[in-house]
Amino acid sequence: MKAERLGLRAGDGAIYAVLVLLCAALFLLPLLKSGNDGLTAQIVADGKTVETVALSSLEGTETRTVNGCVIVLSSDGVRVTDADCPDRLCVKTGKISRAGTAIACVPNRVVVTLRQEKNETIDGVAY
Amino acid sequence: MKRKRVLAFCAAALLLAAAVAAGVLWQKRTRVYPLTEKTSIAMDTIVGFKLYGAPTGAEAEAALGVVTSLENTISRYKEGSDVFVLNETGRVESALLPSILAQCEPLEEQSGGMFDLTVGALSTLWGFSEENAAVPAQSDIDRVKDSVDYTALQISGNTVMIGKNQQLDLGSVGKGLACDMVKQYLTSAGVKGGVVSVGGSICAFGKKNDAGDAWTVAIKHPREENHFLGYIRLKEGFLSTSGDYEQYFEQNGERYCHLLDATTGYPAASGLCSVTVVCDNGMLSDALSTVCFLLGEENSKPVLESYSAAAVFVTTDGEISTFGDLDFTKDES
Amino acid sequence: MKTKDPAKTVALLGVFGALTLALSFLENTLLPDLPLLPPGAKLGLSNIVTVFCGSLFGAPAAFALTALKALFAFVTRGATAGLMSLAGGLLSVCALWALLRQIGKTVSYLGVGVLCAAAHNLGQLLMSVCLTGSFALLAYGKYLLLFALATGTLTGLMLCVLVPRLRKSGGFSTIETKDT
Repeated sequence: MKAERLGLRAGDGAIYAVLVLLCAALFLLPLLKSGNDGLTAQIVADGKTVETVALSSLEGTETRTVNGCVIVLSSDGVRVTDADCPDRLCVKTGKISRAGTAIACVPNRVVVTLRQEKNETIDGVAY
Repeated sequence: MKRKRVLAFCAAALLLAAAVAAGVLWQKRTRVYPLTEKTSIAMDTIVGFKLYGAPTGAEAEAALGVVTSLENTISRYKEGSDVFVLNETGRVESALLPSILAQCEPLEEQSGGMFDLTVGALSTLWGFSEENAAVPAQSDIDRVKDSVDYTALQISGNTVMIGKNQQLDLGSVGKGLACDMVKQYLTSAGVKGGVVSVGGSICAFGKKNDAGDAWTVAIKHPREENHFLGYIRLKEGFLSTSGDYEQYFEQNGERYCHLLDATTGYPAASGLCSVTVVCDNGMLSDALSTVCFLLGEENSKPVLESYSAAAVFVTTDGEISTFGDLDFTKDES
Repeated sequence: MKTKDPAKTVALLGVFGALTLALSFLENTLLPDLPLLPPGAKLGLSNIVTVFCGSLFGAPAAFALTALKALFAFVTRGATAGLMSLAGGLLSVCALWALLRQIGKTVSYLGVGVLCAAAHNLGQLLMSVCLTGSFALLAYGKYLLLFALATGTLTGLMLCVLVPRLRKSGGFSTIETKDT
């Protein structure tokens, strides 16, 4: 037997067994926890944070109406669908989905910012 | 025999401990200082603060106050502000305005008058922020264009006088100027470092950890919402972007953006859709981004050089190029 | 470390040291970045020398080789590389030390190779978490373990084949083996 020629022993099998089991466990572990991109939307009105919504755990859409701005949040981004301000720039901005970007309704003093909870590597966005 | 074993074990343990200690010390160098964040609205735009190592935590609020009080000097629409009074009456006494105008004059000259702070009347004529913006009549453009002339400004001491029918508009330099003043305040308040955004004009100053790691600023993509144009890494500086995607309208398939060429009376036609300028002064970075957008890539280079500034240009065809000493990485996603 | 032939011992240790550094250089310069894995993951060829040295002279000698390798890494590739090499090497030598007396009895060099590889990668992973302060790096653990199983098997098999043959031909009988 090749194993005997190489001089393999029972202990080798034990080491392999333990490591392979550990490896399998590590690979299977994430499947138990829900995937989380860590993207959150922070709604600020009149300079104060009204709410922070974790987008990645959203199923479907959620709507918030703040100071007359209708904010629609979903797992892939945020957009303002309606507002009672004269220029409606906030609605025209469309959907944002990247951390660091934001939609603002200046007349209503509402700002919605997207933030990445993990690995905040972007310090600012120039636009 | 046993002693040697023990000795060896101790040596190994000691070395391991030393390695871990080194690792922990290293990690302390890279751990960021306590972070204070604040987002608010001022100067009709989003103002964001990301401050590291702020002594009391109230600095962001106070810095916001610096921005709102600046409006009392430079806001075109705020009643009683220096610019408002100047535009209404033709004359104003101002502590800050003369130096702003003096700093911008060389740029107005270098741009051959394309960049002109008295462009206010022309901006109003085009009406970009209005619901039903449309291309104005040529006769109106010609008429208003003639009133745009920075050389007609008269400054003596703290007195500024503007010509009849002229309107001063500091919209193209105001955000950068706010960044300058905020940085000055924050550093004097003892904040170790941070990034401030005033309507997209960025100020990055100080350090976020003992190691003094560089800041990363993303540039918004001029056409695509779902990813950035790229990232600039810098230890210290100011960034401003001028683009045709912020305020514009489309008529007959053509895009008309809010960056007006004072010599033609029409929006800039330089083939660019975005310029980001990096510089060691906020107001200059803001003004330069407008100037470069108007001048176009080639003609911008000598101007940028004279201010030791760097820039990222994006043409309407989507070509990205940089100029000057800059750490810029394109977003590959 | 008792030895019947000090001169030969010293010479051998020198050779082992040089060999370790050469293999380390080979791994890091010619095969720097492997796909899917964090930069720094290596094949562990120098471990063959370390284990063989340990089988001849015991764990302290293997430890000395590890320290030498880490110093080399520090000098040529910087502080981070040095610390990573040290952390991985130390844990690997501990694994070797634990198994050393069992080689030939309950385990063979195959098991040693695999366990040392796994220990080495674990040490490096823990050090990288220390250096960056980011526990997120632990996610790499499963890939590193899988990789270690593969490379450890490779080096372990090579050891199973080489060690008996080297022992026979290399004239090592004049050197005291497996001290304490």
